[in-house]
Amino acid sequence: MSTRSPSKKAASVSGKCVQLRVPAETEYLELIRQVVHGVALRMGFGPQEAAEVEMSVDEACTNVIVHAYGRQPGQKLAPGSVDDAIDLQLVFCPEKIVILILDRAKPFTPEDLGEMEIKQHLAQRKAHGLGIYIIKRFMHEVKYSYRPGRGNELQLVRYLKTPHTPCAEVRP
Amino acid sequence: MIGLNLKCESTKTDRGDVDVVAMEGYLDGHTAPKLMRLIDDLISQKHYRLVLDMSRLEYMSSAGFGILAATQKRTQAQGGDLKVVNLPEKIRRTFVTLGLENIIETHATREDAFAAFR
Repeated sequence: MSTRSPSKKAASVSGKCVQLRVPAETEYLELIRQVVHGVALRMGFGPQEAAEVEMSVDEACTNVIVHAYGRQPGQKLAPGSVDDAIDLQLVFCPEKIVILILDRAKPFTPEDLGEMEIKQHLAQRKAHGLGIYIIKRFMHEVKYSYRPGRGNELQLVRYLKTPHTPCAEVRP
Repeated sequence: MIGLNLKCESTKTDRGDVDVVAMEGYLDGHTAPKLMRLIDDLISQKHYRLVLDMSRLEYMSSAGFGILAATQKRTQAQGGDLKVVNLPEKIRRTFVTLGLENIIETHATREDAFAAFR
């Protein structure tokens, strides 16, 4: 992964946050990608880096919808299912973007974030399971936590450059 | 919302009939089942020589890459193959990151892909 120096763009948006709440339906993945890509570009990431951040969030949200909430692709929520949502927070720091993905589905299995032998996986031509690998390749930090009563929190970090200024703790 | 548009056509080549699936839009966790259903239909009709034309594909997530890998295994098991043409550069980067360039052939044109079938 390439890195770049903080740009004027990054400096001008530092400290700001974009929040998005979407229903836990795969139909909204396209909207999520558009927002994340736009925010990453605005922060000063290059087109390739922005695409990698976009894809990582897409993979994470797909996992939340399909595996955590157990929804099939295209499946609509029942009217009034307001709790079946994904909350995204995109926090601009001086030299990185911090993306918090929150849901209130069943607890995630931390082992699912373990190392994956990609060659073996592809040799078996498995149709599923590549998403976590992509997230870990494209993002510099991947942290998961579960808080009873609050749900799953996945934090993804991508640096513009090795940071010198700590980013304020990100909390919903 | 653009979604995924698929157009399938059968072409007679020197190497036999080849089915070309032209893809347009986004192949992600929402639209992947649409491609999977089409491929299932083709394979159930014993069409094992498939070409995916991605010239108008704008995005592919792991759901799509997984389908490529799994479909190639299914077609090769029946003496056929899956080949990709016009792979967009931004999708190629993830394709390479995943190591798929070592197991799935990519070609610049449909004709090149047709000629590569045995």
